[in-house]
Amino acid sequence: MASSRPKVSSALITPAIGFLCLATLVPIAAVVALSFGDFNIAFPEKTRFIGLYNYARFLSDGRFINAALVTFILVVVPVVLQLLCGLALAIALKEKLVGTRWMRAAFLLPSVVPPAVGGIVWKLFLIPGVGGLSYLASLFGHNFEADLLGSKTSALISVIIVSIWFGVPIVALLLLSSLDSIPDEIYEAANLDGASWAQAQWHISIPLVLPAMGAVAVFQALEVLGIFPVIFVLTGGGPAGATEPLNFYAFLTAFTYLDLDYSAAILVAFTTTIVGVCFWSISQISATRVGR
Amino acid sequence: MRCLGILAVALGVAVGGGASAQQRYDGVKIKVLSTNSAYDLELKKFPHEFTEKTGAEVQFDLFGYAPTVQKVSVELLTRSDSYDVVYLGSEEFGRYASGDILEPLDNYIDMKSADVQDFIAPVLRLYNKDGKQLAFPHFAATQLLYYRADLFEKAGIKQPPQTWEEFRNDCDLLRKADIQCTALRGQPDTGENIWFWGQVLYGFGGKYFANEPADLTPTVNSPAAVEALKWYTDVMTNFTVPGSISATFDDVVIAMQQGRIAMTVEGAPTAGRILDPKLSKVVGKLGFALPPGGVSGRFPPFAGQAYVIPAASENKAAAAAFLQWATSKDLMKRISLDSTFVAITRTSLWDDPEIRAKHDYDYGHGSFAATYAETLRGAPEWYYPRIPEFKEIGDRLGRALQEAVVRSKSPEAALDDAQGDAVEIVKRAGYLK
Repeated sequence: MASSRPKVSSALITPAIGFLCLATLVPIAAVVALSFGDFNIAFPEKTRFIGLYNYARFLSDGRFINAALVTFILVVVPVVLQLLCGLALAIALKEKLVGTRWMRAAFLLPSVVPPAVGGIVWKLFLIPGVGGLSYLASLFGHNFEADLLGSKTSALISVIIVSIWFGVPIVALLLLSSLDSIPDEIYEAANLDGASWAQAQWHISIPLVLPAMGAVAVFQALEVLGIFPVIFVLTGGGPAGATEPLNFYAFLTAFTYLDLDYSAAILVAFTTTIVGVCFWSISQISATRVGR
Repeated sequence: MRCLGILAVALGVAVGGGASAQQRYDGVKIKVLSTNSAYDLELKKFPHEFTEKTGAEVQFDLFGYAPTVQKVSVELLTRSDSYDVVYLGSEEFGRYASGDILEPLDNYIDMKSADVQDFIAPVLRLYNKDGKQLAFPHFAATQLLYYRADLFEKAGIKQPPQTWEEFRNDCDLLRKADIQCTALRGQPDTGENIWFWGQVLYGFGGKYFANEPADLTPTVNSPAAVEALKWYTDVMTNFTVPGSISATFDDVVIAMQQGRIAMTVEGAPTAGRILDPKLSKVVGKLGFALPPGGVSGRFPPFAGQAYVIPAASENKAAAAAFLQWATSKDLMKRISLDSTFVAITRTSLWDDPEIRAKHDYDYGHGSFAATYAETLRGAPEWYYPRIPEFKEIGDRLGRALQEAVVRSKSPEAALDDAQGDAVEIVKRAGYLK
């Protein structure tokens, strides 16, 4: 009876696992196969194998190179700033100051706003001359009409700020749970030894949440790539490609220019890089923990 | 079976001069994929009339412009039978005109009938391929110069600019009078900044290809094109309202409607919105003129929007009847009288007293209807090159324009890079070796 139980369990979960494989592996395999083909959606019967031609196109495609650079910036800068701001916020929330209970809930708000809605809100906020930012400036007696989405640098900075706005709450929450797990006795001992509040944070809080920060960084690196809807609404990838990451470029290549095989190659390269970096990061974090 | 169906319909055409009003399609449901433009939104109010007339029911799926264009491309290129009637902008026509993707209307409708001949001929021709009519247009688009006569007077400008150089100089005069000159489309897209750009390029003596259609070598970085881009960069940088760099037609219309600018070159069909009495601050203040030209002449933009029948549709005859009904003179007149829609594709309606009373804005500085008609007469049918790959080339060029405006590249470098990519695109398509 006991030995037949695992077999029954396996049989019961097999369809679910099979469906999961079908739903994930088959599309991935199809995209990979497509990236090696010359595919015209109007004449699918004429599809032929062209090897690495689509990948070779990367080298002469300035837009791809620009999008790769933008992707790098839109991952690294927001994640670093999210971690710094999130840590500061988590430390502040841990102090149980007046109002921190309701502030915990309030800080979560950006995380629950759908990205497209957030993008529209920010777009309205940044409209030159008539948006919320101009209104705020007018309260201080300034006439602010600059088009922040109209120059490459300010548009990129705007997208980074929106990305931080979306990500900081969840980072703060994750780090707060890590901070909460540090025993109070350690702080009390430091206090008895004459350590100031700042010294306690620097020598106790930050070193002890660093491993958690590594894991959160990997998680957020994947999360910030989900800013696609915000870019779609806020900047459309512009101006002049300043805010166009690889996934947005792949989307345009596939659905606007119908260059599906090249789009597949972009996505394969993009996904492989992301997965590779994530695995490497996780292995580094695990190695650190084992070493400790 | 298919041949029999076509034979029966051909017989109907021969006898009745088109899909006759008596023909019934009971039990058929026609599915329409289109944009949520003023015309489609109004059309959606009357499908019961078509049902009463033919027995066929109609289901509308209307989306914003960009999602519609994407859905249309997928539906048509995969030869899906999900829709029986589909929206198609003339700039995309070349993409679908070949390969039996679209159903010729000649199979169902007599193209020599008075009703069909009433369409504005050049607009109808935009959708003609090798003598076959593949769509009926419901929207005829060009651009006009809208200007504020009161602000021109304040700045000492005697008449609307006739050339792009005059346009720029007038902007300078307006700025000296502390008046914001203009807003132009900056969004890098074939349907946005390139829609405006073509007339500047042609006016300065440039063109997209060496000799379309015989020689499709791109010439987007010719000396004339560089001069045109220098002009565009100058105007966009120095004389447009903040936000123009990524502005769509919507942003430009609102800027004009709200009285924020002294002039713009924008779609003639947007006049209804610019002068919407409920929203507009410029009613009674506008003048209308032909768009400026250049050393090579004046080349107002020209495009259409139409309904097509996918060849894969299972209800083609009923869809053809729907097309006739949806673009009919009577319905177009009612829609125009009830809404801001003014991009009329019927010649006879431009002479209709009721239409003129509603849409012939004239505040003493040029008649809108007369200017619209004159602009359409002078607009070249080849305004958008008709190769399937032009959308990709146009978008790439649109990006080059924006690169020059934000000064990430010089006009020469931006166009040289675009030229390189355009050559790659036409090579991949097999036009060049």
